[in-house]
Amino acid sequence: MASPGGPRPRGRQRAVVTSERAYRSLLRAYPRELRDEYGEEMARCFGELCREELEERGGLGLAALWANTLPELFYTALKERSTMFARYAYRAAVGVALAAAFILVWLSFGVGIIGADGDPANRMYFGVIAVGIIGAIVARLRPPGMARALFATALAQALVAGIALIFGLGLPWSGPAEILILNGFFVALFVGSALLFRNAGREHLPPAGTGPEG
Amino acid sequence: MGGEDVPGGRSSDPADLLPLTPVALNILLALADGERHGYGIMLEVRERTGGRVRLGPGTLYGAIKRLKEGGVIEESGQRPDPGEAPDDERRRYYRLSGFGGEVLAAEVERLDGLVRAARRKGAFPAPKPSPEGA
Repeated sequence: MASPGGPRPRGRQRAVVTSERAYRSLLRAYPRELRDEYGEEMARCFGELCREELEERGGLGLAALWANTLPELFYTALKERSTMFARYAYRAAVGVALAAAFILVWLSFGVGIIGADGDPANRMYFGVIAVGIIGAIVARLRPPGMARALFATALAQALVAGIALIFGLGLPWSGPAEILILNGFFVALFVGSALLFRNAGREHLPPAGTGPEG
Repeated sequence: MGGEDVPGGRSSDPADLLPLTPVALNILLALADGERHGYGIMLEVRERTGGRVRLGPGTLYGAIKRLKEGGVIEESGQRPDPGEAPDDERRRYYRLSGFGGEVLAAEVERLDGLVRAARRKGAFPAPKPSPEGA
């Protein structure tokens, strides 16, 4: 059924092909993973919608379809990208936390962060690692709980630094600046990991808890 | 538009995926009576909702991807009989998995419970406005 004001069949076909091609190029806004798997189908689907609009409502229908599709495309592309980021965020968070824990164990029990090698004050770092492990068990490795566990680990690390500074532990081998810098480095790593977990957690909320729908 | 249609990763308990987003629920309902391709899902949803819900390609395929990853729907290798419905060979058809059927049933039961609760409280059907209040 041709619309009175709509293009003729050949012009209509050209409009569909052009629209589909334009939509295909806009698909670059989506992450490669989605694009590779569904891009072709999405473009074909959009082509079908264009054909339908042109047949039913002519050029105005096609314009309206574009006006609805563009915001949808950019919103969903952003959503897909943030979901992808969250997936990588979880892995990155685990990597940062494990690396920080490994370096902490190696430095504190191998070389000694506080004082010389073998200074018993370094045993306080057992507590820091224990906070992280217990927190991870309580959180059952879920992102929001892991974020809290890592914040607690960072707090424990800062507490150890505070105790060392207040009681002058490790002197004269480790001055206040050295203790602050070394502990600050680990606090930053644990906080960074916690923030990554928090970001990952935002994307793992129950379905109804995220974004506009329908 | 699409929210998070199923939480990350696979689950074996349908209740873990509830409540479904309206997009996910509409897609599962569209597939409840047979397999469809993406455009077919769009048309079914639009017709069933009287045009109130129109899924765009980005919303639809983002949801399809997550539902597939969650094991709720699966791709069908079968194609309609060419004698009955000539179709584009490149089209991919989707259908509910066994687990997806359980998820849909659990969600419908949840919604049914809500409707019954609303009836008990007199909130549904909507109470008629009283003449004094008008």
